[in-house]
Parts: sequence; C-alpha cells; structure tokens
Amino acid sequence: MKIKKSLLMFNLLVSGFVAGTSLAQEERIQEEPEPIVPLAYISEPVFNEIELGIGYTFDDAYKFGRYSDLENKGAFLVGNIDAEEYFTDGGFWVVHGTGLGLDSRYLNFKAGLQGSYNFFLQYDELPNYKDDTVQTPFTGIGSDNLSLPSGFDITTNLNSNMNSFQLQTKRKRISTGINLVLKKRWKFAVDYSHENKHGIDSTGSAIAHGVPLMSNITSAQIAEPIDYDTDLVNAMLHYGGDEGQLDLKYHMSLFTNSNASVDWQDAFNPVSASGSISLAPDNEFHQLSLNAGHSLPFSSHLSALLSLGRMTQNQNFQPYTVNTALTLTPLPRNSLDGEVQLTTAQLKLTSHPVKKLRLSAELRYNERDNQTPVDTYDYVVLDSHNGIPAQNRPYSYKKNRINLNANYRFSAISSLRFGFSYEDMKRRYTDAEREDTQENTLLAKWKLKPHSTVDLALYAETASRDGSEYNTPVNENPSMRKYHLADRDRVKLGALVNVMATDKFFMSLRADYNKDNYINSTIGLTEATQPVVSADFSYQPTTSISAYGYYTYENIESSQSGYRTAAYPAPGWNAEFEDTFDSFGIGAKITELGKWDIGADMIYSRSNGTIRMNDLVSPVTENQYPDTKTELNSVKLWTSYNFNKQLVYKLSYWFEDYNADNWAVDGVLPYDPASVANSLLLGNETLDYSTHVIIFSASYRYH
Amino acid sequence: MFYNLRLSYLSAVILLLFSNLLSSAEILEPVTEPVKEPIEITPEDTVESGEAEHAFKKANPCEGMTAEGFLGTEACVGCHQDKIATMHSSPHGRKADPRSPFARQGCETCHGPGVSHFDAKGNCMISLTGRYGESVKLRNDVCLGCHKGGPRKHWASSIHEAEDMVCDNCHSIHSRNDVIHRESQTEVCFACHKNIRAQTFRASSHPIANNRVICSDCHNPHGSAGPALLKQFSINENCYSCHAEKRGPFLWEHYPASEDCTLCHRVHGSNHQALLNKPGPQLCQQCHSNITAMGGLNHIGRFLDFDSTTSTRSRFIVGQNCVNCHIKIHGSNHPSGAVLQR
Repeated sequence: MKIKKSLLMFNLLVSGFVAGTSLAQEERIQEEPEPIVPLAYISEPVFNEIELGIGYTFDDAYKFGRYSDLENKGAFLVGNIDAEEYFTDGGFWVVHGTGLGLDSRYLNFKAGLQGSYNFFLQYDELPNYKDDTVQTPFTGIGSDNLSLPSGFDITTNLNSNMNSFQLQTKRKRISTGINLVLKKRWKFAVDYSHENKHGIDSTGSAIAHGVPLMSNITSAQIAEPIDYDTDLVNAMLHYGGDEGQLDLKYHMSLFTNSNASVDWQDAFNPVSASGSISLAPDNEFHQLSLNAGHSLPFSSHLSALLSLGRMTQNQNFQPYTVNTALTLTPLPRNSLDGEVQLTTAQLKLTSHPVKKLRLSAELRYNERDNQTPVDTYDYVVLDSHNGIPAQNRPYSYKKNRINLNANYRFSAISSLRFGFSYEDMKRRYTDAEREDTQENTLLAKWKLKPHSTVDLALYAETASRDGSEYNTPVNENPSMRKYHLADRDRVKLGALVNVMATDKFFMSLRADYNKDNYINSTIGLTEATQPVVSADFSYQPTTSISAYGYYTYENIESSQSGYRTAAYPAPGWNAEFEDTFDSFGIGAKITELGKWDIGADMIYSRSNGTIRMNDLVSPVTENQYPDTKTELNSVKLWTSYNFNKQLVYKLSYWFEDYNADNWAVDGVLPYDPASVANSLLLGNETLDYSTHVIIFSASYRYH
Repeated sequence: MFYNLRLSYLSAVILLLFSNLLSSAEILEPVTEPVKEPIEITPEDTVESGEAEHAFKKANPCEGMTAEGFLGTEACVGCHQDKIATMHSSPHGRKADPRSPFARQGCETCHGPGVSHFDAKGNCMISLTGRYGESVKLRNDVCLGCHKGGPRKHWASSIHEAEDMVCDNCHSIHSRNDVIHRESQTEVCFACHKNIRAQTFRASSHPIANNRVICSDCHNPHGSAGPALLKQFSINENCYSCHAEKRGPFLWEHYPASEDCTLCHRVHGSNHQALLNKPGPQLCQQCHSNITAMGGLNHIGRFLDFDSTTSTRSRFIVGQNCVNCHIKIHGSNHPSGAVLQR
C-alpha cells in the first residue's frame, strides 16, 4: 500500500497537476468525514483576477525602465493574473503572475494537496538597463574580442568611428521545487533553479607602454560580454515537533561563464599594442547545515547549528600576457585549484525564567579558511613588461561572537532591554595589517506605553573596537588605518513615538543618530555620522477612504585624510563628505464611489552630495567638486470602474521626472586629451528623463 | 584534511539522526494530529494596555479554560460571519489538512474554548490582536504552537522577537494572503523600516521599488543565524546567491571584498554608482594611501580635487575612476592580476 501510494505520488508529479489533483480528489473525498465548518461558510467565494490591457509610454526613458522594461516610447501589453482554486479534499492550485507583457515578467504556479505535498514552477525575467548613451569605436561588442576599424586613429577619426550601444543585461530564471509532508511531522523540500544572465556591461582596460609606468598607461572603457549561467539546488529535511525541531539542509550553486576573457586593441596604439583581461571564473559552492532546537524547562529553548561550506574554483589560467615580445617564465600551475572552506557554528539559549524576564545567550563562530595553494607568479604589468614576482596571499578569517540579551518588563507599561556583545575577529594572510580586532558593544532600550494609544521607545548603543598591533605594508603610509580594521568608537541613539490618536488616525516619529569615531586614524576615514529622521501618518476615516504620508531625512557625513609628499608624515589633505536626502510621499484612496474607485500616490525625493577638499599644503587653492544632485518626482493616478461583479475597467496615469547632476559624467567627452589624458571613455551622460505612462486594462474577476 | 574530517563527522551524525526516519519514511499517509489542549491562560499572560481594555484583566474569566468548553465553529458564525468567510481562502481554513486549525477545533483552536466567551459576555477569548490585553508571548505562542520550526526556528532571541513583534503585526491570519504577496511585502516592512523605503528612491538601488527584489529575498524576518536577519550565514554568502560571479575564490583577492560586501556598498540604495558608499577615488583612498613612487604607486595617495586643467589627474576621477585600470576590484583570476588590473 505504501509503495503504491509512493508510486502514485511520483505519477502525480510527473504527469501534471490536473491529473494529479483529480486522482487525489477521488481518493480523499471518500475518506474525509464532513467538515466541522458548514459548507455554507467555507464555500464563500474566493476572489480570482485576470487582468489584460494595454499601456503606452510617451517618452524614451532608459533609467525609468531600468528594471521594468518601460524604457522605450511606445505601447506595451499589460498582463497580470492572481488565481487559485481549492478543493474540499485539500487539493489546490495557485497562479500568480505580474508584468506578463513585459520583459520583467514573473509567473509562479503552485499546486498540491495541502498537508501532503505541493510543487511549484516559476519563470521570471529581470532586465537591468544601465545606460543607452554609451559609445565606442570597438567592433565585436558582445564578443570576447574587441577590435578597432582599419585605419583607426584616435586623434583624427574617432568621432566617425563611434557607434552607440546599450549597457544592459537580462536575467531569465526558471525554478521548480517540491515540498512533501512525510510521516511523523517530517517534511522534505527540494528546489532547483537555472538562471541565465546575458548582455553587455562595461569594464575598464589598461595597457602600459614601458616605464615610468604612470605616464605611459593608456586606458579605455570597453564592453564586457555577460553570459552567466547559475544553477541552484536547495534540499531540506525538516522535523517539527512540539519539543524538538531539526533541519538538515543542502545548498549547491554552480556558476559558469561562457566567456573566459576579453581581448582588445589599444585605442592609442592599435597596430602595436593589445591586451587581455580575465572574466569571472566558473566556480562552485556546496554547503551542508544541520540545525537543531529543543525546549527546556523554565520556558527555555536551546538551539544549535553547524554548517560546512566549500567554495571551489579551478578554471584554466590565461597566459601571463598576449604580448608575444616578452620572455616569460612558465606558470607555476595551469589553474588555481582554489578552495575556501566556510564553517558556521551557533549555540543559542533563550529562556523566560519568570514571566517578566526574557533572557538569551548566543555563541556564534564563522570561519573562512582559504586553502588555495600559494605560488609565485612572475606576472606581467599591463601586457607591457615583467613585474616583480609576487605570491598570492589567500585570505582567511575566524570570527567569534557572543551575544547576551535581557528584557525585563517592569510593569504593564514599561520594559527595558539590555544587550552586550563581544566580537573577536582574526584575519590571516601574508603581511596582514592587523591580525586581530575585538569589539565590545553595549545597548539599552527602554519602551514605555503610557497610554493604550501611545508607544515610546528610547535606544542607546555604544561600541568600542581595538585590536592587535597595526602593521602598515612597506609602500603604505604608516598613518593609514583601514576603516574596517581601525580602532573605532561607535555611538547609536534612537527615539520612537507611535500615536494612535484615534482608531482612524495613526502617526509615528522616529529619529536615529549614528556616529563612528576612528580615534587613532590620521590617514584614511576618521569620522562618520548619520542622523535619520522619519515621520509618517495614516488616516482611515471610513472603510472606503484612506490616506497616508511619510517623510524621511537622512544625512551621511564623513571625514577622511590623505597623504601628500610635502606634508609627510602628517596628512597632506583632508576632505568632508556630505550626502543629504529628503524623501516625501503621500497618497489617498477612495473606494465605493458608486461604481468607481479612485486613488493617487505621489513621491518626491531629492539628494545633494557635497565634497569639500582641503589642501593642507597649499590652502585656498582647492578646486572644489560640483555638488551631485538628484531629484525625483513621481505621480500615479488611478481609477477603476466596477462594471459588474465580474468585470472591472482600470485606467491609470503615471508621470515621473528625474534629474541628476554628476560631475563624474556630465560634460565628459569620450576622448578629450585636454581634460582626461590617455583615456578613452564611453561618453555616457546622466540619464535624466521625464515621461508619462497611461495604462488601460480590464480585470475579469471570478469566484 | 581537517575539513574532510569535520564533514565526515557531520555526515555520520546526520545519518544516525535520520536513519530511523529514512527507514520508515512514507508519503501521502494522512497525518494524525492529536487534539491540542487549549492554551492555558494565567493572569500574567495579560497586560494592562489601556483603561478601555481592562475588562479582561479584571475579570480574567479565561483562567482555567478546559477542553470541555469547545462549542464548535457553528457557534462563532452568528456574530463573526465576516471572519469565517475569509477562512476558506486561507490555509488555516482547510479541513482536509489535518494540521490546520479547521481540521481540529475550528476557530477555537487558536482563540480558545468558546464557552467562557459566552459566559463572560464577549470578553473571554484569545484575541491575536491583543484587544483584551493578551501578552505578546501568549499571542505568539498561539501561532508558534504549530509554526515553531522551519523558517521560524530562529524566532527566539531574534531582533523582531526582542522588539515585541507579534505575528499579527505583519500577517493577516484570516485572509487569503496570509503569506504576504511579493507586491505588498515591502510596504509591510517599510511600516517600521521607513529609512529603507527612502533609500530605494536613490540613483543606484536594487529593484526594490519595483518589487522585483523584495525584503524576503535576502532577509528572514523570523530570525536567522546570520547577521541582520540575512537568510545566509554571512553577508557575502547572501550577496553571492545572486552575484555568484563575485564568489571566486580568486587567485588575487581584494580582502575587504572577500570579507564583507557592505564595507564598500550601501545595499539598499546610494547616490553613487554601483551602490557605493562614496564616489570612486575617495572610497578607495579611505584604505589606500601609498607613499612610494615605485611603479607609480603613490597616485592613490594624491590630493584629488576637481582640477580639470591637469588632464593627467582626471582619469583618477572620471569614468570609472580607480576602476579604469584596477578593473578586477572583487578579485582577479589572471596570473598577471596581482594588482587587480587583469
């Protein structure tokens, strides 16, 4: 009987949902007694909707359509589906799809027998339209070999050889999986997905022409072909009992790249020089993890986790250079045979020894153990000349963390949470600047509910990080302290007020302030602050009218210092950075206006970034960067007309306007020796846009 | 060697643990669930949350609820037709699933035996919204009674548990979309994480505003063994799940990239290209300030103001700035990529 049912299960899965559901239905309808809930209640209609329509984008707007596929002026199809059907025996199917008429489509189909099994099929696409203002003289865009037209001379005929192209990639993914409810509270789930990412991205490229190096390098931004395939498998066995839980998981990720390298001709010396860069190598990741938890006396719970992962990469190396004029030593090996072992272990105990007290303690261990073989590589500098032989330096670390938390409820309206954490990180690689860092963190949060309609919270956190002796590399400024290794004092403060003024009006105000002080750094990042303030409200005077609004202010400031010969060893310059953001949104919805529903949503977001450079050697001679700015206005208006219970007509209008100033892009020509020497750029521009979109659709609703 | 030893040990433990299961595993057998005892309520389970809601606290008639007090869902329908109607489209309403509330005591599986509800004139019933002053723990225990493991196994001591979040804060227990739809999930999260919503409007962002990357693609709001509720055990493992080309391992590593992507990237949104924390040259100069001129190394320590009259300096600023030449910033597998140029 068991075997027969297993075979039936297999048959159901491979022969398709329809047949499977009907077979299961027949079998189970006979077994099930009358449900407790009268059919009159459970047969209340389930709402399904299929939406079809047409939309029109009135302007080309590449950035607007970056992820939505609405980048071009013109018509597009609207297709959305949200449908499901359930049967009294527990069988069901669900279809959910959005953007079906666009290259950003998502479609998920799930079916099964609730409590026994289910499976899904999913297909989705995600475009990433980065830039359509780029130009290049290279031919072979999208391939692994970029060449220049015959007779190309960057000083005389660049413009006539420039061709426009688009930086864009698209992900296409198909996924499937199955969940089985096994006996005795055991479950098994496995899923598989295959994703292809295809398109063109940009990358830099540089070629040297002898020494002295810096004055003899030519560089060009070139097109990088993207053709990635990634296969993922996740499998999980799960036990969920009242007292104990157990999960065993396996994760596999296989990455393959159809292109191993890109070769290109030097735009400045097309006849005599060319270069080659490597692209992302094929690699694999396998991970096995076991997680168990068990209840203990005093409302306590103990959980333990052990995970072992292995990242490997063994793609054949490219030759040292494509420059055949150089005399080379043999490669020490033909491929890396790279291997990194990842270990995560966690032990966690939570307890409620008394009702008012909640305690937790956690030990966490993460290790990245890089087992990649070390060899000496007699490398070639920028396809030009032999460099100083260098050894690879595999990077490993071990991180131990302890978290302790206590939450005590003083009374019905007040509680206090204390937390302490300690983190120790040991980094291992040749000539590591700092091998060990330790950080202690203390936090406290006080929550108060002075009235049933008001929540208050105050939060404070302080952390201090230091570590072993800091050893700067030979060529590095001895005062440099890398910010993830440097001594640091951190303070976080926060306050929150939630007010349910009436049962129809809610408002909230939240303020946070973070400050990092790199107390012993004189070169590098020295300080960073980040205040954030948010306010929002929602108002629902009736069940058919609702409104909301929000505002967020964020300011990110930082200071850093750098080296300059004349001031050495003191800092020769410092800089102040400030990015300020304001985001505001408001919207309203009114339904049941006769047969009409209407709504509006508006977003306004702007930012301003400033850099203030201070030359400490020759003050007041600085040429300051222009501010970077962005401004986004978005308005959506929509209405729907409920023609009858089944048919709804929808009309929506969407206006969006975006403006940006970016000194790194604005006015920078592809080639302009007077402003940027020895470099060929893509000549891209900021992607300002202003566009209107109208969508008309009809929704068929059924039960 | 040590790794293989650990892997063997782990495999042995796993085989031992699951040998009994594997030998007896079968599927499609109806699962017999015992009838759950009603949740016992004591005075400590209630919280004075306001004068208007003190009736439960004062009377506390639910103390000592017993299984004899079940009335059946038919008794609830008279007053709560709206709630029960939606149960059909919720997984909780499926009688055929022996694990579901409606395969047991119906509404009373979660809300407690109803007999006292009638006796106490409407006050005695476990409300998952806390309207009668039920404690956070009590309300969550109702859900965790069935949903303890799986993605919720790290709920205890998670930041959302510490913040006294209740399942009902995000989930609509009775509705069809109890598992939150992709199209609405970000708004659920943004109700508290307001600054993250603002970050998605920035010039460089993941497609969060388009709902094509949603919070649960990276985070498990019910708790995790990783940082920041990430589904994987480290930040980089999380990023590699979509950006596997950055995983390596590479012959020449850029250590911060191998350690923590967020050292350079602001993942929810930034005004600088590629989600970077800062514009290119200055971001790199936070860690690099070489002082020797050998091979031109000291270019990284330069004072780089916006001097457009000195053309040899400008390529450190425009285009892809440092990455114009150091293109393999996430690591290089080229034998001549020692300084990430190949």
